Amino acid sequence: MRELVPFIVIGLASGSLYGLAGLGLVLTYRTSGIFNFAHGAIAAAAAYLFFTLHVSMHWWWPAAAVVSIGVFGPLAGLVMERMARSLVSTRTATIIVATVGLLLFIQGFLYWRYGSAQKTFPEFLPTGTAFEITGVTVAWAQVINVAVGVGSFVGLYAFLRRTRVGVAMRAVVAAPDLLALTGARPARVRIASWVVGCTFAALTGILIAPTLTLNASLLSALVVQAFGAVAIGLFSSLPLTYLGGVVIGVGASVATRYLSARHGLSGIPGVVPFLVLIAMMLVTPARKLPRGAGRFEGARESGRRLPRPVLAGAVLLAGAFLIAVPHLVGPRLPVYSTALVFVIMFLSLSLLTRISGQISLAHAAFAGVGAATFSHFTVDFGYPWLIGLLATGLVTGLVGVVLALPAIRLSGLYLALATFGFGLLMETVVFQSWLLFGSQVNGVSARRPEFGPIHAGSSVDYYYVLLAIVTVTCAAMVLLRRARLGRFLRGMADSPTALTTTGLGLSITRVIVFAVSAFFAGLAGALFIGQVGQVSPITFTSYSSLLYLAALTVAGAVSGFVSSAFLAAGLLVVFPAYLSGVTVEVQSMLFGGTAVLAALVSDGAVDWKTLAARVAGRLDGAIARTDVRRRRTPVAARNAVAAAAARQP
Amino acid sequence: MLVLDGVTAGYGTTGVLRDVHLTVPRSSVVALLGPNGAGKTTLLRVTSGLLTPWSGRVLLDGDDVTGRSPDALARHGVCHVPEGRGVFPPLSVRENLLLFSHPGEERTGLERALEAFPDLKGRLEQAAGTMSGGQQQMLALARAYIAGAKVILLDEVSMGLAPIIVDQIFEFLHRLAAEGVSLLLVEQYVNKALAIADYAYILSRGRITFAGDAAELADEDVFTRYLGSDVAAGV
Amino acid sequence: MSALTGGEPGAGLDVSGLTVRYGGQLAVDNLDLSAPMGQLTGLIGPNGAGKTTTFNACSGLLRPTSGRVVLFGDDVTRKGPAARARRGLGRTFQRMELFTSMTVSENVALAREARQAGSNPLWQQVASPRQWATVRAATAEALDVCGIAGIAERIVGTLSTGQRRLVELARVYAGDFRMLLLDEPSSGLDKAESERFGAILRSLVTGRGLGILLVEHDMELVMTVCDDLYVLDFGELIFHGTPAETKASPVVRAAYLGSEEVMEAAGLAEHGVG
Repeated sequence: MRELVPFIVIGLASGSLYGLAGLGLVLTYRTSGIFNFAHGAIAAAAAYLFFTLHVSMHWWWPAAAVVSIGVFGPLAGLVMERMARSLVSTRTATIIVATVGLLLFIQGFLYWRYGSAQKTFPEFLPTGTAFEITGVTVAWAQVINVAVGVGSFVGLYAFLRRTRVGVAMRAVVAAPDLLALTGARPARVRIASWVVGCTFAALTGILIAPTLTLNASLLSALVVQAFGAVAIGLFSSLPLTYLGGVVIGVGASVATRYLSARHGLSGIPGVVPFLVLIAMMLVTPARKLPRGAGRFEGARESGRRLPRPVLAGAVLLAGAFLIAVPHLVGPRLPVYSTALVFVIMFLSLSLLTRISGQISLAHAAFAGVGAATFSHFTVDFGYPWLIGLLATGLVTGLVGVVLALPAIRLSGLYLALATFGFGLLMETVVFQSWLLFGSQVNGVSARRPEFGPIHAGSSVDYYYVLLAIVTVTCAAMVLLRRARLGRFLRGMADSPTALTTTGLGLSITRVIVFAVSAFFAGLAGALFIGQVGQVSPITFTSYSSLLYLAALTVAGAVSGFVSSAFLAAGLLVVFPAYLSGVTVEVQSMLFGGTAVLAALVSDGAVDWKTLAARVAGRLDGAIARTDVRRRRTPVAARNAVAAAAARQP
Repeated sequence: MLVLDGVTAGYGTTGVLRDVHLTVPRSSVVALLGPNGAGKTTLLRVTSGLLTPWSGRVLLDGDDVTGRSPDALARHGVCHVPEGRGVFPPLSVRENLLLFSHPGEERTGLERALEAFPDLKGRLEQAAGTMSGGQQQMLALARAYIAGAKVILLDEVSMGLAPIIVDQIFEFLHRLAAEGVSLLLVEQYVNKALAIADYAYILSRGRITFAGDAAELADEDVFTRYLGSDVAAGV
Repeated sequence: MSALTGGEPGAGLDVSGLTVRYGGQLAVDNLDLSAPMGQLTGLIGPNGAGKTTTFNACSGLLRPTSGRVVLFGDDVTRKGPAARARRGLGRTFQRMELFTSMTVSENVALAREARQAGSNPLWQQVASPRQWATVRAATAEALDVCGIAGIAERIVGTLSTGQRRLVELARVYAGDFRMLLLDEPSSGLDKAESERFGAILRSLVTGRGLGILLVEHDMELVMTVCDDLYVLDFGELIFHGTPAETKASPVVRAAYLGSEEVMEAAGLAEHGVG
């Protein structure tokens, strides 16, 4: 027991900060309905700002802290509130993509600006011994962390009960319309809560950075600890959320004590929050989880189709181009081969998100399982190439069935969180097991196919093999969408209630679509090895999953089911190869930023017509100011238009 | 004085109200009647700013307030008690009253509310949602009282309440009207509504099908109108 | 007026002792109700009386606190919505649950396909030629009966409310359900549409021998088409009888108009029945 004390002390100090991050997340989620995946990224940004001010510019640390917490936090809150306000009436999936996009954008920006090398964050708080407990020294910094956590919790709790704004924050959760009817401005109340929430994020980032070493992805992942805490609080209770953070902190720390030395289990302590998150998502009854903002799905497809001849022409042209690629692009051929692999990946993801109204933040994990399994089948077991490929698809299909379990119970945000936790679990623990990648740093390898005229050594041959498989996949997807399953999936996206009350067993449908999607994602993973020779698990992180989703959203905003997969692959893989400046970081920024924009635009969050009308109204007003008699308010103008429209037969 | 001038409104592409004209004169009670689904709630939502009409105007004391936000209208003296209970269920009675009061006048607001509804006195720390329906409705009406509203819009205040509570509520409404407040009353208890109303409107399928003195309507059989006049006449 | 078709005793939908509690609130209190085949049964009552809650309990979207739901003689209280649908219980929704991104004919066909596929993984993926032939015939018939064959290829999201109501009706028709629960099918319809709707409902009951349980606010429609009426208030059954009896009932009148002077209302009642 005694030997545990230091671990408990460390756990309390970090857990208190997880709880603090969780409080900010719950507060903003409940008042606005928008779950902020970028909460940790905001914490990271604040920490980097502090780093710049304090280390690079040699500011006195309290001054740096005031700016990065007291100024940056509220500013971030204002920006977030503006974004949340635009998103609140869009589809749930759009909201998820928007904040995920923001996460990618901030993270990309930080990598781009500061480089991906880890930096040592100065321990700016006093590190001297505060007191000793059973022989264990407790540092002042640890005491301060706990004190700040507890103090923030108590302060927030009192604020929400004792002040008018605080009470209004709780009221806006319960009945926003009624709050407006009492004369309070719900928008102001939401601004206040975003300001508080983001300030908490900034505070967490700066306090936790010294214990983590400064690294953008580590800090963004901080949000995962907060997710766990928030899940324990069932996305609504502040005391339970704070307590959840402490439990996760202490749990992870104590687990380190017992498991760090054991091979294969050393990743466990790090995944305590994901395990908590997944467990909570699997056992909590859906009705106990608060409904966030966002309309229910509804399929993305408008039903508009290109005329048949145009479509046929476009397909022929694209086909001819793809066949000619090896003769056109010279040394860049590998880029195009990789892009073909990604087309399969995107088709598989699109089947879930675009056709079926489901969501997956773990798609890279399927590809990872596929890659490792394929290597085992073909290299270790000596299966023929094609058999190995199909067997790999079946294995990942089974993994897809596992991921379908939360999908049977949950939808929207909570499904997204469950899949995110699943991806993180795969990435940090399961990939390291001997079943998949093992502990080799270099990862796994596999042969390329060799049969008939196809030579394993020829990149051009492999390109054509990939092209054939892509063609088959496209055909399969198009057929699947038109077949009965496709109709059910589209129906499921529009109204699961209607399907189930006409007799369809929806659990089976969900299992099937996750299995099919995982099958193809697994193929993509397997084919990826043949392209790059050797892959390691770091290729298939949750971060990649988020990037894929963002890229597909961007492409999907302007193109159809199949074409969006090609466009996304082109943007993600081919485009950077032609622009030397487009590094991974820049891509992350581009896709993240564009995903935010696409989310805001594609789904009516920012209504261009209203915006145009408003701009026109302003112009009108400006003109009218010179001519007082002709002044019209925008509302009156809009009414006039509406009245004119209503008069038309 | 509240005037709806040719209001047409709806949700999405579905029209609910069509060219509605309605007037609530100063310090008078207007009953808005009609079968379910006729658009009564929508009419109140347009009036309080929760819904912007497609066309037409909402005039408050002669000012065009069409398209103003609900909070702005509330500060201008429009008090809308929505259908269901106009209270925040998870908040305590005290916290509800805090939000119902004008900023800076929280203390007097609380006192006035308790004066009007002494029943609430012992329940200040209770969550509003755990009170009985009648008590919740009293709390909701306390807002109309302490906010000092000029126009009060009431949506089915008596729904789901025991008759004796309904009587108390109507007594309170009567008192409010006597103090010079204008009331627009959507009510399923037609007879009770007509008993305190000066004017009445019947809304049917989004159109006003009757407008006139409440007394005039009280002589008619409103139930027959609800059932559909053709049928009732034909059977 | 009683069960003409359906065969087995107690055929149709029988609800006994149904009680639904939300938190502390009693939404439906010990309700007994029976909707036999070959008959249009109406379920009416003021707002918040518990009608939609009753529907949700009947169709399996909500588990009742106590009571039994018996469908065609079998106790289905513990069955899910899909299982009840496969036994022949179809429903529509007040807020219309449609596949808005799909065409009218796809919407209608999907109901029949869902019944055929059920929870069978194979039939969820493909249709056999025979199944497909059934689906096409049923779809064509349903579109025809509901008078929407002309808009079969339109996307449902672009239709008017009235047209959508008809699509939802065509969907339960094509699904070959024997017992239909229709939740405010005429709201949002204009008078002419509503009348045509009533005629379709009558033809389903008399022509095809279906059973229909109808929740409806349009009293005119209810009084014209229903054979039998149940009146709910505060979750309790306050009256059961023919439309004429209902119109004459002082209890119903009081529930709708809130008159406590029941006797006075009873006096006026003759006026209403005429």
